[in-house]
Amino acid sequence: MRSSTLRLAMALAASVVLAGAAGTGADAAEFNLRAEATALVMPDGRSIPMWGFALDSAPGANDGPVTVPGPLLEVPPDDATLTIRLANNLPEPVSIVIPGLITSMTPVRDGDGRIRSFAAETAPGGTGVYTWPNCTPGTYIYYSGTHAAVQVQMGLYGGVKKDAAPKTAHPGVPYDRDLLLLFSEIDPALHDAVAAPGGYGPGTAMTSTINYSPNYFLINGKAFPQAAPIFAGRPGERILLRFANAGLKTRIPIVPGLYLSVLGEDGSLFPYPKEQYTVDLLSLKTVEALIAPTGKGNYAVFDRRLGLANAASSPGGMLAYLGIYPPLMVETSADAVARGETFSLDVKLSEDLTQPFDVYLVVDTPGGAFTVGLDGETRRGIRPLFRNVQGFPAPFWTTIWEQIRVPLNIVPGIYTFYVAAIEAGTVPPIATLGDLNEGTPHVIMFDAQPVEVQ
Amino acid sequence: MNARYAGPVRSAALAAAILSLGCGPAAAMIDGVIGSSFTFTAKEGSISAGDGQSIYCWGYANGNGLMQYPGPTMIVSQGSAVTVALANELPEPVSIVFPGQGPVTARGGRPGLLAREAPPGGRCEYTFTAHRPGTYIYHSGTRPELQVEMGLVGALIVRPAGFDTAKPRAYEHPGSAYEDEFLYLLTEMDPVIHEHALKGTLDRIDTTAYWPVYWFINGRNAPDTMLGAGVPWLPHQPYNCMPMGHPGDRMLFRFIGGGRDLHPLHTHGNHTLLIARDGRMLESVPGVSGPDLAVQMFTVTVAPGATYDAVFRWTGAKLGWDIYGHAPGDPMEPGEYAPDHGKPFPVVLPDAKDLAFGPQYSGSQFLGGQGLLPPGEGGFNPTAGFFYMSHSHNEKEMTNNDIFPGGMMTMVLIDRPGAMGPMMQAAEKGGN
Ligand SMILES: [Cu+2]
Repeated sequence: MRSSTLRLAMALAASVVLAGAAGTGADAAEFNLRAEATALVMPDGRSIPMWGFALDSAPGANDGPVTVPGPLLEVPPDDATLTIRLANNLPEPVSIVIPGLITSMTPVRDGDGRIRSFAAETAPGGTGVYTWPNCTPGTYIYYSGTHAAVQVQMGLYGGVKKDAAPKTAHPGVPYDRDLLLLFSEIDPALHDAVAAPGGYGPGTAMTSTINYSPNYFLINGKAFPQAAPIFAGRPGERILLRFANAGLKTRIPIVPGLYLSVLGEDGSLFPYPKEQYTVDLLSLKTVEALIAPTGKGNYAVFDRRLGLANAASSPGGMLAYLGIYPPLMVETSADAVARGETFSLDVKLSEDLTQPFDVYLVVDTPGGAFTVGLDGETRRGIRPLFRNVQGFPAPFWTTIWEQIRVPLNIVPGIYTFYVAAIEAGTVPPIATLGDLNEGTPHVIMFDAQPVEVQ
Repeated sequence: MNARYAGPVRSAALAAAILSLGCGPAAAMIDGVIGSSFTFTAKEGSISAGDGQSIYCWGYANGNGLMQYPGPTMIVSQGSAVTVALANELPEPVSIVFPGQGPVTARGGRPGLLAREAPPGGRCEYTFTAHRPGTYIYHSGTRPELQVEMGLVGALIVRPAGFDTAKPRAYEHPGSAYEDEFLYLLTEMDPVIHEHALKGTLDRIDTTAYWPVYWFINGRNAPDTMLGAGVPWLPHQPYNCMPMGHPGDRMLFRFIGGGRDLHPLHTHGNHTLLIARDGRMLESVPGVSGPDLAVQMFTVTVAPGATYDAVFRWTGAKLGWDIYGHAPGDPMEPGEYAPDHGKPFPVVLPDAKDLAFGPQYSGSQFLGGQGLLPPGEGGFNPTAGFFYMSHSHNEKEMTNNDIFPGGMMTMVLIDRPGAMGPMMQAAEKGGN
């Protein structure tokens, strides 16, 4: 930034109303961010005063929700320049810096020469323009470069991503889907001090952040169990995980059930990927890693430094699940149950099912029958679960949930629940259950889940 | 003094003592439970810290044995179907996760957040196939921020297919060959949490206020790390960590981050060649090239949950003097660094009356050398080996509750060819 005021003047002169997230179609991605106070409610009910960013559809529109972390800024592959127009609704000056993206910066100094802001400040109530003219592919963190010891902790951070080409993170690194996993922490003492009438700083109860001691631990702004499993992709897909750490402590994300191909860090590729199930995620670092899970399920990702509590209560903290779901899926809450016990059965259907279809649920039993409440008793064989479903709008998948009690008189063994989506109004030619699979005529999608009855 | 290499110990009493300890295999192997079917019991017990403090812990016992910290080191063969049956005698549900193994199927018990759990008084069972060789970790997946701290953590070693104890390899590739292997499972403890667990005031534990003051290698603080494995006065801490080898030996160090903090593990005497992380060799073409991306490390940053395989190979290279005090025409010793053969020791040692002696000084600066010592000095180094410290380079972690030295520290002993430190033999004998 040579001069934010000059840029602002130019921007105002142009008076172009820009869509928030969309590029202009030329070579510049432009985002309208607003810094504003908000609050996050922790799982234990504690409300934490935060500062966050909102993405507005136009400068001054004030129409985006304030979130922590701030909105993910997606720079289109052809856009060389990233521009952020910042509106400041906070009581102190703020700015935006993005380590790893090169731009000229104008630090602001206090009267005694000490740097107060790494980049030109946007005054309270004012607006500023920040530009990165040579935006290179990668994953980055943006955050406030002003009074950073306080403002970053208060929540003024978010992710930036830019791909080399559509669905290609870097040249030669294609992916099917991607997901940002942004780790951060909260020490409520700071937030309470900033929000208190006396505020924070010299002469107040809290004069510095030297005793920083976080006790809430967030992934994408949520502490367990606030987040439902995050849909990450389909079995067999290449899924790019974009890890980022906006906190002040080193985190070691671990995915115990998968190996990650760790591609690089800070937006740059390693010469060779590294196969690891842990990731070294130091403060303000970003790490890109590919996973390619073949099996469906919810894969836990958590902080192996064990930030897994919400203050003194446990479980909590940095624990999330990566949902790897086929477009049609049957899941059970247990893979082994005793007779007399209850378990739940979920059938999940995704928007990938665009044509009319029927869903069939079949149970392969070694002996004895289950009662699946939707349609009475289920025996070995095939029966419709429900019919003429017309595909699903958002949310991504729809769940049909069943609570099933295992009869006491049932024969122990493996019971397999088969679910098939079948072209609407057709009957698959099935003589035996073994015929039911993805290749069966009229079957669009198919899934199975075994449960052991003990 | 500058005495020439004085030859091996001639003391009949000491020789007899060494012989009485029996002869182990040629290569030092990590202590543990070898097999594919394991039965663990989660139970309580108290360990002894390096300062003598007793710390109440939870740990995995082998079968119905004593609670041990860390849990039994599982040693399995690549491709084997591994079953771990877990019984729980603790007041909280417990479980086991096996990072890097998968898929793990579980039966019994009840669902948990990371794995099925054995409720108090209950059981559950885990099964997985050990597809790939390497160094791995296991630990509780139930409230791990509390239960790992309490001690529910251990090591898993998967031997490559075709493993040959005479020519051991960490992975299939010859680039992972070694002569001796040693485990460094690194953990920490905050005794305040353990006191609450002992008193039953679990609800008063705040794991976010965790402040460790004890640092462990294989469940022991220095100086206990250097005692033999299985010594009777540490019944809950059966594993030691005192690597011993000979010049030129490839000593495989299996580092595991078992606790919550990162530890910069530093070796004296030489760098370690890092060949693998998280059970995967550092290789440019996975499964093909071998550890061609291995790097020499002054300090290996051991992150929690992660594992590292590093080869420590000491020859005395580039010391600039002959470690045996050879004359140029003398025969070479196995593993000797040839360019320094016959080079004289470059300084004249002060007279004995001007020296302070450590207990590990043999009276000679030469490997395997013996010299005159004043009465009452020495005696802790009967084979006249070289001792090199290895420790956390976060020096604060070399303490036991604020008392230095201690903590995450041990010694690596390099013995002259043919000699074997008495503690190494004890360790081999003590392995179960
Ligand atoms: Cu040192």
